[in-house]
Amino acid sequence: MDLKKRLASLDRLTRKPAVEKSAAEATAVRPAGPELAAAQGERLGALGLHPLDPEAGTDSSQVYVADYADPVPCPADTLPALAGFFARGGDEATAARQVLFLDTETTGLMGGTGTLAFLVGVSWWQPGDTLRTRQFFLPSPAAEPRLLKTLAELAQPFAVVATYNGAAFDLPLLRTRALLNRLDDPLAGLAGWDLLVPGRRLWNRQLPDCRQQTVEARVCGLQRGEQDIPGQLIPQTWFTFLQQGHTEDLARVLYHNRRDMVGMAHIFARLVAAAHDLEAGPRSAPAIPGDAARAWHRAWSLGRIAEYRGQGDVAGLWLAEAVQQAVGLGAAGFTQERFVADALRVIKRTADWNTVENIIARALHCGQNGAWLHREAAILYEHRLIRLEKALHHARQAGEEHRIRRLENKLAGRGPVIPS
Amino acid sequence: MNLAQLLQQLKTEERFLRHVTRWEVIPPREGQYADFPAELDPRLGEVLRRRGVDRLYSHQARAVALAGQGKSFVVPTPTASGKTLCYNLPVLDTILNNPHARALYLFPTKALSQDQMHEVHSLVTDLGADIKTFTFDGDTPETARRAIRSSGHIVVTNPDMLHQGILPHHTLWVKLFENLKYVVVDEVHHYRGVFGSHVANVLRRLQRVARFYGADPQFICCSATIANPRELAQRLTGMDMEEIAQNGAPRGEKHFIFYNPPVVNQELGIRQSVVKTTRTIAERFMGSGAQMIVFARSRMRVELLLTYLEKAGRRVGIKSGEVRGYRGGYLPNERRAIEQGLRQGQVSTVVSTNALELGIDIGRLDVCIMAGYAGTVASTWQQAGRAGRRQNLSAVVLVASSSPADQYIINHPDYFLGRSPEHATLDPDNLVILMSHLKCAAFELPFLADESYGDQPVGEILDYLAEQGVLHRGEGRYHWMADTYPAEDVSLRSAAPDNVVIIDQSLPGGRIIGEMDLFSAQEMLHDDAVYLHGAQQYHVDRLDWDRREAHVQPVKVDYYTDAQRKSELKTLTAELDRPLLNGQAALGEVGLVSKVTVYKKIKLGTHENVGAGRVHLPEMEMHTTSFWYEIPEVLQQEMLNAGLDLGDALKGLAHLLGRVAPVFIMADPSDLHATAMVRSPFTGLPTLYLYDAFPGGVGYARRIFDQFEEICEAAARHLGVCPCSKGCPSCTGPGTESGDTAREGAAWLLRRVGPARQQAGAGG
Repeated sequence: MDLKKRLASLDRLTRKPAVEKSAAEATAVRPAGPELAAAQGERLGALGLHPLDPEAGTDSSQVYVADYADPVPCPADTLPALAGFFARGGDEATAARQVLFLDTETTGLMGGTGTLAFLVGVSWWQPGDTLRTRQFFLPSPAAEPRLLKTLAELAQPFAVVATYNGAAFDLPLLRTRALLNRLDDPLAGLAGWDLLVPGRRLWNRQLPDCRQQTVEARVCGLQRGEQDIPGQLIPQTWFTFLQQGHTEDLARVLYHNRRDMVGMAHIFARLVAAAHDLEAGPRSAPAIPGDAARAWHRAWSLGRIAEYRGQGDVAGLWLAEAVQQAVGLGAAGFTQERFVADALRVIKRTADWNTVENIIARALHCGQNGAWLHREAAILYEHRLIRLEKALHHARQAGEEHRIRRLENKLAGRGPVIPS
Repeated sequence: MNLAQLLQQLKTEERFLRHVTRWEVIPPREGQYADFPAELDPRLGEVLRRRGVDRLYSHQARAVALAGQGKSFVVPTPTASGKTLCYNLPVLDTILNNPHARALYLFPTKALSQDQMHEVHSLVTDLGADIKTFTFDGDTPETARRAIRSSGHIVVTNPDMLHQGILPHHTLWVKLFENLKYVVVDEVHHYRGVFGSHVANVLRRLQRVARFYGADPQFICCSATIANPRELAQRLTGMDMEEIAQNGAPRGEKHFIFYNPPVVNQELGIRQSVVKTTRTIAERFMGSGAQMIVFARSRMRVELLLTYLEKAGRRVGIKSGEVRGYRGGYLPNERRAIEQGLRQGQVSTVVSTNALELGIDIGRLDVCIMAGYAGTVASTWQQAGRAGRRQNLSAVVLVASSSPADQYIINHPDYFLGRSPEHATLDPDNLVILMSHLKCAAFELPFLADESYGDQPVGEILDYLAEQGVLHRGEGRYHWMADTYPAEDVSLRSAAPDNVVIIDQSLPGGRIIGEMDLFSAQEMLHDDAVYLHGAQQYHVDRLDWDRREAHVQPVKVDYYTDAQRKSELKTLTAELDRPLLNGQAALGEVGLVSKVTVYKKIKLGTHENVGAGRVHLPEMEMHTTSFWYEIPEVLQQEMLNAGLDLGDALKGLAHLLGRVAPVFIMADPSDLHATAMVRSPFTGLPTLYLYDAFPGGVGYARRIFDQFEEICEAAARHLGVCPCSKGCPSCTGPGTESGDTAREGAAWLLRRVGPARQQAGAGG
């Protein structure tokens, strides 16, 4: 038996059964050599991709590029203080134009050295609320070094690279690919801002998840067209292109990446608006007309961010504002115990006991009746506001035997109880 | 009665001595020493002197010298001979003088890595040097990993983690790979067969990645005593190796007792069960106050013996907590507690599988009893080394089972006590294994079209993978081209990546109590099997094969189950052949289909058959390498004339060779299967097959092809001393299985086909 047959038989026995290739795929004839390159160039051209370096013809280390301009309102020239919004830094750029957005489409989602980015999208604001997007596409793995070098040149004037979950995925992946090609990290000089980090703090309680597409749709009101491709199908589109030269699904990937870039810029603008609100304080923040629920969530989220940044007082103001707004909504916006717990935790630190009392009262009013809430009330009335009857009432509701006895004794003017 | 007195008494007991085939007293040996080498950093000498070590053993000094010359080397050493200094000294010396230098330590198990890490760590602490030593394995918390990657001088890990956790992410380990000076591979004799073939490929990948970063590390290997440590280490690492043959460590007096249980059925040649005998002997030693380890060959036997010895211990005032079991499937913290209990003396007796054969520090024990031969001479010595680590009087009892390998060893103690006859075998070029690792390697770094891997070009296989769409070939390179992570699909320890999880249904929501490979699961976890775990019996309510789940319930029954596998074999191609012993020997490929069909219920204690049932599970299919031996047709008529049955004779001979051969090729009997056909469709002749039990084979059949004469001689000798009359499990198989004339027929065949020089011996 020759080697190939042996390989096939061993492979068949050890591999889990895979989906059989369709007849069309199996019989597809691939052109080869320059013929292939020319045919490929033509098909890529139909997708709006053109050779980065037309002089060099269609050799295999050629990188293909597509350019777009989308209208996306650019935040005002001077950015508000973003320090504390991201895992690290936040003050590396003072203007939106210093920010380069980046998103990659890769051959796998699990990482590791064998995963490469076959499409890299970058965007930046140009004058006139125009978001420029440039996509670099690899028609073959051989073009990777050129892509990385070109990316490094393009990124060089920017101060920050903004991504969505890029701190954990896109940036290390590009770093790894550069290392494998014995090149420097193309983004080494830029600070990394991962929009997912503040995104989670701002929206995790109001959205089912904080994936970019969820935030885009629910917070920014953006819709994607039907041609968008689900993320898990993306790697296969490139393999299919390499093996069979098909570009149908590739068009969907280009679309997907472009939407990702536009979405990221919108999310960034929301984030900047939130930072402005935070600076201005709750009283002067512009109302969100007709959307009380969002206003309440926004106030609450900003309170959480302020808390994270170590601005306890500001946090207290925002959370109190959030409770205020929530009560305005009636019970509906105020039913989740964890909101109340978060607000109480922060405001207690500011020692604003009247606000604490207010929040507890509202929560009880809205129908919350957990033992923990009564316990909070009992502690407040016993130790802070020194209203022992009220404390006793709540201690009884909470079923705290020890506290009940102590309060009864205090009310009867007796000394402390010695536990039996 | 202390140990010395007990041994004295046993020596006078006729009832005991009657079954002892050899009582070898291994005399104490003086150590051979050497001064600290001048080139060694003086700080190391100081630390060792503070610990009361004022000179080195000769083999340690030699290791330092070879490392200094930039050589890779292998140190074959017995247990407790100070082998760790053979690598710790050169490594620490290098790092002391070059703080950028890095070393990678590989141990076959996680437990052993932990143990060795503590040892290095204590040396480093005494040195007061800033040498960071970390273990990196599946239990390492995510938060610690970053620091380990960038600042660990010595990273202690296992081949599985190197394979799945480090190499596929090598760019995170730049510091390690750029500065990699040493790779230490301990217990290399463990890396043989399938596991060894995998690990050899992991090391090829390691070297490939190291080369990418411009590093060319030296390898330091340690091995138990085998016949070919140098060859094994070279095959494993692909490097030229020096061997440090002289061992300078001293040792205490050791009594090595070979015990062959009495024959209980003269006709069938069946001996008293090894478990029963071990139990009786262990009970004697329990009374002596000696700390004891009992090794059993299977998890099930560990559990059986544990149950018996706990009971026996209570009679002599040993609490059940002082008698413990130790085997795979126990949780890590449970194991740590047992190890510590042994070191500190709270555990007086431990019953273990070979899990404790490796160098995990359990302190000094006095007695080692082996319920059955450990499968290889090297492993047996390692197990025996558990007794008397600190030069005191110690005793080892090897209790033979009826199995032929055991019977061979027990009747030929010189084979065991003489120079090691065992050749460790592995085949890094096994196609299944090679192909798996080529995928992993391509994921780690693209292949250049003309790149060789190991010592051979692999272009043809890479082209095949490119055709399959796994790799992309373009511009002189092969790139990984799939959205999967290939290392995840390759398990170094078994052919199949999946396991069956064992779920205890009696607990709310079900609790996972263990895992088992698919092949064993078919035999031990089929519907209605009784599975033993932690001295608890479980009934298997249902084996959900598709979901890889076994649902079990604790039960208390007086039997256990034993399943039987049936195989069919088809010859595909012949690769090599040569005339041999009046017949024809060949090596080639075969296809096999096997299936577990029935199981027996066997009563605890008496071991009698009390019932049976059917098993309905899918067939397992495999292609592998086989040796076969064709017997000339003329013999068929001659046999008839002699009143013998060819079928019986072949069956008997297959049974015999299938059990004697593993002794020579350092295989577990389960690594090798033997079968015979009266007329093979391929050869058209009576044919005997001995084949690798792993897809593609890992070199066992090939070694048999080379060593068949020697194996036949040993088989004939073995048959000559077997006391049965018509065949027994120890030789040609019980007459009820192989046929009444099997023994006679096998002896006749060995005489007729064998070379002249053995004919006298085979007379029996």
